[in-house]
Amino acid sequence: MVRSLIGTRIRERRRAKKLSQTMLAEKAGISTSYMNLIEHNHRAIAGRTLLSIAESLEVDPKELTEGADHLVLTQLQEAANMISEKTVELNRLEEFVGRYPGWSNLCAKLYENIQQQEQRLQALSDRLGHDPFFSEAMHLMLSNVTVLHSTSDILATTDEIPAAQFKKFIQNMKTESERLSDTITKLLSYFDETTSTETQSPMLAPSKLDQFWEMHDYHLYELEKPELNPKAQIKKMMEAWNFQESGEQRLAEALVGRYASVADHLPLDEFIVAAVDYLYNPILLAQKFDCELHDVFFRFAHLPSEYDGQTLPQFGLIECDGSGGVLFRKPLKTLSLPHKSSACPLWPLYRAISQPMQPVRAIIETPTGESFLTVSQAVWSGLNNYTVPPTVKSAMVFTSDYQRFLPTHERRALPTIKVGMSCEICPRTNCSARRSDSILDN
Amino acid sequence: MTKKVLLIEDEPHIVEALSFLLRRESWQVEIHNDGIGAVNKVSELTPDLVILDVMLPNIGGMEILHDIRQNQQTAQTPVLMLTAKGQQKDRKAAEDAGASLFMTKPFSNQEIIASIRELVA
Repeated sequence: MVRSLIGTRIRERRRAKKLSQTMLAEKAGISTSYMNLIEHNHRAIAGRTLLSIAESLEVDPKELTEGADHLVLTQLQEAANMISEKTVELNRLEEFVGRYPGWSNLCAKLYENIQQQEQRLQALSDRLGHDPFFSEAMHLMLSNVTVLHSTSDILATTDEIPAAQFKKFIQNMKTESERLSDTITKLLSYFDETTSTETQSPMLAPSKLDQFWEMHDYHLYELEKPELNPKAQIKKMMEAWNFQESGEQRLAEALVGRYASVADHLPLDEFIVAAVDYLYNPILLAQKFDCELHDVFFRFAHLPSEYDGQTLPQFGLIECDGSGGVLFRKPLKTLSLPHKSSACPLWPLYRAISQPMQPVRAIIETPTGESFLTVSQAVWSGLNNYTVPPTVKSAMVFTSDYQRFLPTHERRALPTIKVGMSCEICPRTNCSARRSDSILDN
Repeated sequence: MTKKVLLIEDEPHIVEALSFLLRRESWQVEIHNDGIGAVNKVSELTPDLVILDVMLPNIGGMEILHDIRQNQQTAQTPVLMLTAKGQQKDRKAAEDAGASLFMTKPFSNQEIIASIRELVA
């Protein structure tokens, strides 16, 4: 498959260097007719001939065998599959990329843009479906409309209504129409704020690092096989993604490096077998693999969605420091997570901070009715230092798929904590942990 | 004989409109506005119909419905569920939990009265 592209690449690079076929053949020490056959992809080349041609063209041999075109090829292949267009000449894809690098890069870039737009739309759709603020606002508005609809119908269809009752109905309609107007204004303001802070709000415009994880579905199969040389794979990923901000690049490298380390210590095949055996109990798994509980959490969050033909439970993960600042997040579709600041103080993630090293297990229930099994633990960091106080890092792994593995008697024994996302958008009233009013309060 | 309807709903203005409609039909209306104590109220009043809101304070309507169906004394009582959530999954959840009928807000007065007539007939 690659063979056909090598000749085309050689030809393109030769032309770019303004060399004739004869000149290049001479430099590489082969005949012009042989060079002609190579350039027209009629001869496969490798070894010494490939090296001498690459040297003559002053390029890395890899650029001729795979090069930067690899990603473009993959993207164009995906684009063709996406539209299921039978008229696309897939058998000539490599030739296209080799002959028209500018056009193929443009097509690949357009495809990438489409993918990103689709992800944003999906994020928006998920948000509308699960955003507690939106859900509560809709509920309030439907209640307002119900009163207006029903009461106005009564007034229109009932001939005789006692004066006091009539007055009461009019007052109710006035109150409900004011509430409706108020809720709509708040709703518009909420979405306006979201739009105006879009660049800082990765929920609608995910950061490149978020996109990186989402594109990989939080699973890096390249790092699951030690024989693939994880270090080289990490380098390749970082180059391909070209994180613009140095802070993001460092963070990405650290996280992917951590992934590689966890994958090495908790090999996927062995881990999944053990996880099923131990009913996804992270404590037992940490004992078996002689590792930290946080490593098991991290592994859970990066499991593939399917393994050996079976779907696996999906886990989300949030890690924060002692001040609640978010260090890592993997949201689930049904549970969005804060990007930087703290969430609902009732989350077990924060309770764990008050008792470092002690795991906390609980079911949490969101205002929209979804429930999740959570396991949290905070650990000390920077101990044994006279001058700098130690810090804590807390992590909470969670899943809504717990019915698949958690025995009923264990589920019943767990406390269920009714939580929110953050006070501003939480519809729960009479909450002892509330630190600010909900913007939906009438 | 006058039919007795228990309305379990926490929105006072909806309660006011609905109870007016029900009384206009000469039905006896009892009102309860919290999830807590709702099941006991059904046992105590033995109504001909329960109109139950899904979103109630403290205990949700689905949980209350479940308990009504588990209680031998109230298991056969017709229950009309009212909700602002009209998605298919919510409808299915209500049916699975044993709702006699599921109506979404905003409802039309004619529609809800016609449905109630059928349920208490």
